[in-house]
Amino acid sequence: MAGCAGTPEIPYDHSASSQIKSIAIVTPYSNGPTIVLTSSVGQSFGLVGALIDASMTSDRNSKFTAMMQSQNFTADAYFVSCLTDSLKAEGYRVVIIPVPRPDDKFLVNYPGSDQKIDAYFDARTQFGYIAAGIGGSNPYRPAFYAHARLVKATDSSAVLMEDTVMYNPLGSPKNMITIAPNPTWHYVDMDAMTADPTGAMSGLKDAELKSAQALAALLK
Amino acid sequence: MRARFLAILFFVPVLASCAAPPVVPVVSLADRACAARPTLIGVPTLELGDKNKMEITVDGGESCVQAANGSRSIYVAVALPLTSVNYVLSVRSTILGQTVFAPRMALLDGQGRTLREIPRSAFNFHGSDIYAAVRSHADERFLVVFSDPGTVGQAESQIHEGVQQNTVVVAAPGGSVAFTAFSGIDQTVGFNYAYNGRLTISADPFPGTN
Repeated sequence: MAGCAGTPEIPYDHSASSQIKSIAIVTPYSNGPTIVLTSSVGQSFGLVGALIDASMTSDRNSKFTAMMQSQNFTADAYFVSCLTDSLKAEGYRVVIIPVPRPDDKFLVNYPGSDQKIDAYFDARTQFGYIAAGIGGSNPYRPAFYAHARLVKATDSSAVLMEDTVMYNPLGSPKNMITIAPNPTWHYVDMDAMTADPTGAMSGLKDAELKSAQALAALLK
Repeated sequence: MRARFLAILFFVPVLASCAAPPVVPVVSLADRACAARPTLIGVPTLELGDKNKMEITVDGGESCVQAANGSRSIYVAVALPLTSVNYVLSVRSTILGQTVFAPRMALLDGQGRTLREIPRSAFNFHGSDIYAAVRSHADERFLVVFSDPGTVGQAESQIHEGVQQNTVVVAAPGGSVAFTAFSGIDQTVGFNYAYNGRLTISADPFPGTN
């Protein structure tokens, strides 16, 4: 989940952007849950190991998707909800504009609206759980990644802010905001996680909320 | 023949904090005489570009200021680049073992008047650094990084995860076989906000977009 270095960060200049009052959040890109076992035995055994790892990751992702469905939880919608509340708390008027997101890229053209919009908030996200390794000392912890930017409504080439937030990063990545995971939620393995779907969703919700708050705080 | 491990040839730590030298946190300025305002005369000038970034070790013995409410702050001041190029000014405070300088910053004009203040809450973690960045303003001539008196003395702990890589050589018939093994790191790292630490100040030309 995510690389070691984000793209160069573009800080928001509130004093130079004081005309930005209303923000449209376009549907963030997301590709479903990713449950990552970062270091596994398979990694040491070339292509065969990688194929086995890929199969096991797919199985974990499917289990997590089933857990989300059992909890009637949609991670993407929850992130938009958190981001909306966080931007409103910073004093912005917020509208949500659904758009199709076929690939993991920022939009080139923004959809427009019958409401007055000063800027578009565009995000590419990834969510799930990460375990650094195998065993009880390397539990699965919630993870959330968002690469986001704010562009001027009148000129989408004018990037007012761009940054990346990683909740529960691996190592010490560059050019991104990192948020250490809340120790409350951790699972020694997938069986333990699937036995506690309510808790597992609570952990993910916390990751999404903290990430949304961090992104909105960049627009102070 | 039963394989056995012969040697672990190398170890690559991925958490920067593992390699940081221990630094004792300085959390009191009680015995210091502090001025009312920072001194800007003779401060070094920051030049544009990553290769000109300033890495400053702050030991707690630097000049300090005392606010009207009695709170005290260590400070480091630099003159900003003399350039017409728009740039991003960043301040990074690195965790050294269990110590990290608790930063806030102010941007001043040529007469020393404060034009912008960036509070401690605007700094975010970037891995093992605390970081904030702003876009340049033409009328700002000095950056002053202060210690934040409301934060100094506080302790914090974080869970850090990472992966380490080992090359393992295993005895085999007719020689040996080497392979790379990966293992996880999941540890709680504690540190204290202090008047000392290490700062990196940089002014980088603004990325391609405006």
